[in-house]
Amino acid sequence: MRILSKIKCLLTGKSSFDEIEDFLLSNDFGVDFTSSILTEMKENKINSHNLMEAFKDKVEAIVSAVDSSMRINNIPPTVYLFVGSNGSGKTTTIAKIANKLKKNGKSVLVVAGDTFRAGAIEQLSEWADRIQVPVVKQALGSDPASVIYDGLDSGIVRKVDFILIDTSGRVETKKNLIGELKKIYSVISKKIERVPDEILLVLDAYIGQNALSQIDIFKEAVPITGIVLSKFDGSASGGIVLPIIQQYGIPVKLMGTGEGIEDIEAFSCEKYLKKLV
Amino acid sequence: MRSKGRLSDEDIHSSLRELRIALLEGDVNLDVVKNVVSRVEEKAKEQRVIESIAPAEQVITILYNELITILGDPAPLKVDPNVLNFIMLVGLQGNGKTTTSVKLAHFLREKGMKVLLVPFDFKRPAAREQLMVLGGRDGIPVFNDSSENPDIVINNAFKYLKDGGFNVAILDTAGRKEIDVEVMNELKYIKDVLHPSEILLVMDGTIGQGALTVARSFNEEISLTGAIFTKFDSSAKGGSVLSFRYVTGKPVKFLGVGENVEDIEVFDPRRLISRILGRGDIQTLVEKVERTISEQESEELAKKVLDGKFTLKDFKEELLRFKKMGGISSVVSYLPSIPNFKIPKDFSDEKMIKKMVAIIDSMTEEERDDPDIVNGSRRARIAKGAGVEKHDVNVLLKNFSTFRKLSKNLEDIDRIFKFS
Repeated sequence: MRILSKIKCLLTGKSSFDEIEDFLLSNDFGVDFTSSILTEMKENKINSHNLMEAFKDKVEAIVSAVDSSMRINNIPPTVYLFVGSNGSGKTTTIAKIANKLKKNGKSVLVVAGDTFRAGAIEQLSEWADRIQVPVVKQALGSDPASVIYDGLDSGIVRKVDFILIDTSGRVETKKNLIGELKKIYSVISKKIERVPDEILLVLDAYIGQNALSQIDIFKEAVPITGIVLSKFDGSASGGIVLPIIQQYGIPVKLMGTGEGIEDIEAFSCEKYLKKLV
Repeated sequence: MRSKGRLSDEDIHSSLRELRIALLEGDVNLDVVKNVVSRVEEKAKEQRVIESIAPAEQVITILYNELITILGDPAPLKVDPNVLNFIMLVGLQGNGKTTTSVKLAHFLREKGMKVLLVPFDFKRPAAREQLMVLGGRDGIPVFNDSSENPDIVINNAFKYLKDGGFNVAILDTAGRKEIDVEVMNELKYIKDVLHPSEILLVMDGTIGQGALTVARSFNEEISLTGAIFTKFDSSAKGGSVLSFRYVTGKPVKFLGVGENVEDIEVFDPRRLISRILGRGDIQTLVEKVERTISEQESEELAKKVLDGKFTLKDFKEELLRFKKMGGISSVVSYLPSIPNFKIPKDFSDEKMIKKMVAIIDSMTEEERDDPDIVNGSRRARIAKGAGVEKHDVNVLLKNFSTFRKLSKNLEDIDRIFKFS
């Protein structure tokens, strides 16, 4: 085996370090993360045939350094806020989580806080009908903070276990929209007298290096507690989340694994690696 | 005096290292980066040092030209106002197809087209509602058929379009994974029935390395005519555009730059390159470098003319430069002014320049070194090879000798001065 791989290296003129570099770069791990991993491997004098194993160990170490479990408040309702750029999959993610919680015997209320995108309220309402959970909504164009306030009010009165709050997609360059997020955050915190139990940034697994700018700006506005990696069933595997975990200490908590309502799972390092390697 | 040395390997490598990082951080696919960087490296090795310009700037100019070549010429939307055109938008989920279809409808309506939006997404809850609201806001009609059978929708829409005298129907299809065979077949079916004039991939501008795979899969399955990239109002660099163009060879037609209906721009390759490389000044830089190189080469040619070493090969280079830069950096402007010398009028005609270059190309090495040996039969062969008339070969040789005579004239002038 070793001899064969050596011959392969000789023939292609490529070292295994080059190969692992290509592997990392072509999976959106980014230049900085890739070069730091390579430097570390070289410093630790990792045998060139064990690079992939060393890489896997590294990923496991990074992932296990943060807590990937979903926080639940001792006294209901537990409140989750979902944020992210347009089309990342917030609404679908909420429907999936609501469904999963309901199947586990929990009561759930969803809040249609995306009052900007045409069809967003209808989309969430339709999901809510299908899985039979209550939805709090107002008209398109109304103030999201006000809908969310109503939603919390209603959830507390009904004594639901979980309140899941949708928000409009926003690109990180729009200062006013990021400002709106701050307002939403403070409205929630005042109402429930603590910070939301999770503020989840939904990231599309296809995303490239822009994810880092997104994190930078979103976390300035609200304390992101975790990432939902959506569309993980496509051809992309979201390499960028590794540098995110390492650099910001923000864990990946969930991953979207398909188009069906059941297709959401707790983030699993094993599955992540399996798809990648 | 300017040095005539080549760019050093060290200079080339350090510049390329930086550019490679910029491309990768800009989300250009690794395969594309490798290919481009190796081509730039090859070309850079051929480049001579120009003292007034930093090696890094020379290298970036070569890269710029490579990227411009990949991105190709602008390709306007194929819409014939005399027939009913179908434009089909396809792509992954959440990449902005619905928003883009309304923007595109708005754009075409501004051009005087009568446009109908046809929702063709039977999967995502409220997809049709979203289109109805967005179209409604802008007064663009949306075909509203609650049937979930694609055949019925197609038939009904077709009738509606004919009766209503529409020019364009924009089909907003369901988002799909590129690896999903079943839904790909559905797209193929729609394509075969409607024969769209445009099948555009709508792709999120923040997408990373995977852009290459996605673009390739869609293109292989349904043969795209181009793409529209969205979310260019984010801070993403948008290198995925290069990946798309590289792997499909199809043009990128528009960029989505915001959430409002008018936030759509015709794609401009030069601006994309500035964005990826993070250099707003790149066009000015490239122009400066090219002008300087051209000036330097002209100066050298002028020296050859003066030394009587000006050959047809040099003449070809001069012609090409003339075509690219115009008269400003012609050899002539580097020679002492000569009374009664006029630039041959054929030089102002691009077609003539092309013809003359073709003639020089179809000559043998020997003939180029010594055009005096070109006799009747050689002339016939050259004309045939270049696809021109024998007369054209004569014109070329005459133009060449006008140039070469410059040196003789100069000698005459010299002599006159010496003897006076």
